[in-house]
Amino acid sequence: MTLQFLRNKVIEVEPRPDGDLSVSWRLTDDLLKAEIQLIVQPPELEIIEAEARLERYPPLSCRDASNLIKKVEGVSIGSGLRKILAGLLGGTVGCSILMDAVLESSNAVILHFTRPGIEAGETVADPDKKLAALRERLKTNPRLVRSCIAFQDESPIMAGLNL
Amino acid sequence: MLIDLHVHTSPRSPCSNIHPAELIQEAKRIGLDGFCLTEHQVLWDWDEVVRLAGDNGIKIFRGNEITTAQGDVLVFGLDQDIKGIITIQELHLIVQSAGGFSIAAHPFRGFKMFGVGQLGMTLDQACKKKILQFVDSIEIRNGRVTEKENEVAGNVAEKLGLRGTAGSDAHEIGALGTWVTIFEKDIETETDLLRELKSGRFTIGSAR
Repeated sequence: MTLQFLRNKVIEVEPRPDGDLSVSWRLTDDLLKAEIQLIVQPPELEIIEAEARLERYPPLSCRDASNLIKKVEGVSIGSGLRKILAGLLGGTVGCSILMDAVLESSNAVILHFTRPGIEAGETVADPDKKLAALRERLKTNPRLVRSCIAFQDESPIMAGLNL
Repeated sequence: MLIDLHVHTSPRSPCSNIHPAELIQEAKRIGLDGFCLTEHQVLWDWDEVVRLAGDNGIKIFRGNEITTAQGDVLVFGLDQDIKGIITIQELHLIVQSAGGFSIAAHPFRGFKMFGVGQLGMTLDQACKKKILQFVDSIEIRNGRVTEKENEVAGNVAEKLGLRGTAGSDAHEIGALGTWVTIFEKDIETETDLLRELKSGRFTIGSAR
């Protein structure tokens, strides 16, 4: 027997004329059709509006998704977001679909801001210049230091930086 | 008195690599007079603090770093744990009724890859951040944020007329004392600490 399961997921971030960002997260598979819509207000990246619609066969914990999602209004996309959402949306016993949706939407918002810089860095062909730019970024951003294996003390990127 | 107001230890804060016993020697070595154990959502038992302090001459105080839906808040003088996520307004009422003191911790901490500076936040916009309306003070120097983020916090505190505190937010022993709050008067007890925080008789500096 062949089991077929198809899932599509789309996340879009669209700047609005008033400067806010409209974020649309949509998931469709054979069992579920889910959609959340966030309005995010820069510069604090506060979620000022949140709506959710789950159709077909959502888990019991998500049946009240349209009301549950309202809890994230007033929350800012930033550090500690995972913990805040776990508390507001119920963590492992809550509606994980909504939590994933908001986290993935938040990642998309962050990418909206970071992608241009990353892309600009990718155009630098000289490996030495690329490394120098990366080391400069490390010097000005302490949270990157030791945040992943590439930025551990023994990494060549960190050599001589004394951070 | 040099006191690091913001320190995390393992295992109470799982994100920290500091063993509590390490703190005393390191505090002595760098010339700290004391530090506050501010774990995430967990308050140390007083008996354990007394045992840890021993007779080493280093003062140890207790606080709590509480996550609200609007950001992290350091709380002093609140003898209870807060479980789950509450709003800053709810926390404010709890702290007020307990006679405690609250500090917005690293209020402008950004992301790994970019900070608030790149979002183009003006000083006026930063001052309107909701959490700042419901705290007694702002942490204007934190050891785990960028210079720019500390600078924004400092400017906001000045504009709002709030006294700014400093703490390392140490999660590794080498970070202890990177930023400290310098109190004018001697502080022996948690009651003294609360009184001096409320009085605003302090400045900020570093022990490193």
